[in-house]
Amino acid sequence: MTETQLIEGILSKQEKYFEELVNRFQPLVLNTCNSFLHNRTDAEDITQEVFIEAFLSLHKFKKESKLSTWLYRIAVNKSLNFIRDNKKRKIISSIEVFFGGEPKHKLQLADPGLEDAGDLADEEEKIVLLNLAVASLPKNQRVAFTLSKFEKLSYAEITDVMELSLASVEGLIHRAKRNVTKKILSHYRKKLA
Amino acid sequence: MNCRDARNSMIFCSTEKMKKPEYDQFLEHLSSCSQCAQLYQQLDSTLSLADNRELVQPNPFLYTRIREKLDNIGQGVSKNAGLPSYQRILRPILLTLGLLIGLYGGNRLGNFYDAKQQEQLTTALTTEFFINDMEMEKLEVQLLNDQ
Repeated sequence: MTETQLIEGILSKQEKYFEELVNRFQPLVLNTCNSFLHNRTDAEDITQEVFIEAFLSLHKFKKESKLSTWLYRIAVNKSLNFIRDNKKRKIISSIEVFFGGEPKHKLQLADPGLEDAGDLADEEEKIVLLNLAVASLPKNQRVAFTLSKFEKLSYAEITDVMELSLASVEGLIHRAKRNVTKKILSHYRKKLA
Repeated sequence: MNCRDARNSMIFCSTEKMKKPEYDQFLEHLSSCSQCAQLYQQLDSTLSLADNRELVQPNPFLYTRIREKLDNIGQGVSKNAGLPSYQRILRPILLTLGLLIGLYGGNRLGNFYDAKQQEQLTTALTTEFFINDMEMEKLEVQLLNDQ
């Protein structure tokens, strides 16, 4: 089934076409959201929102770009909005805690399922460190780095998703790599000192 | 190459290709300095995690959940078809009208109060009270009457 058939099928309210869209693009959307959010439950919630948004606004989709590019764009925007809203919630929660309330959300580390406990701690620390370094990047650098490194998108595809020039994307990824390396290096240097 | 230069080189080493003589010096330093070698190994292994990221497995029930949410959205729209315009337009208008009526009523009530007349009334009552007080029967007489 081609993308055009899929779009036309959904627009003509045929259930099976929308189901096909969800099944075909779920890995792409879910992994993109997870790359930004680092939490499976949150990533699934945002994935649902992405497909609902896609369903409701498919008539606005211009067939100039690929459907996957359009879905990447929605997934990135939804994930970034979620992170922004989460920051607000954290501020409100910290105010509540300051005035004697109980924190509603506690940070939990997901179990990656490794058998060796020693490796688990080391591996987990590295993953958290990498995620934190990426999370500290400015928005555009973060998006470009995530799509390039985690989603393995080509520079041309990132250009389409971010609606930027190729030179801008190259610059963003280069600066992002350098900043991430600096952050990680500074962490290990402090540990060594 | 000293430790400081080597650590600066680590940043460039991961992002861009170092030139041959500089890269050789960097490797030479790593072979002689265990701390820098350890640092580089940690940095390299952490950065490599970005390339070997584990993929999240799709959820087989995702479509059912999406469908359910979409149905709820559809029902919500039909049930509350007139609600958004009420919330956005009518509610602020009604609130503003209520506020204006309250202000107007308060103003009218304030104007109704005549301070001069009230002052005269108070003075008259005070005077009368004193006159009446003078005319009050003595306590002894009242007690005798009760008996």
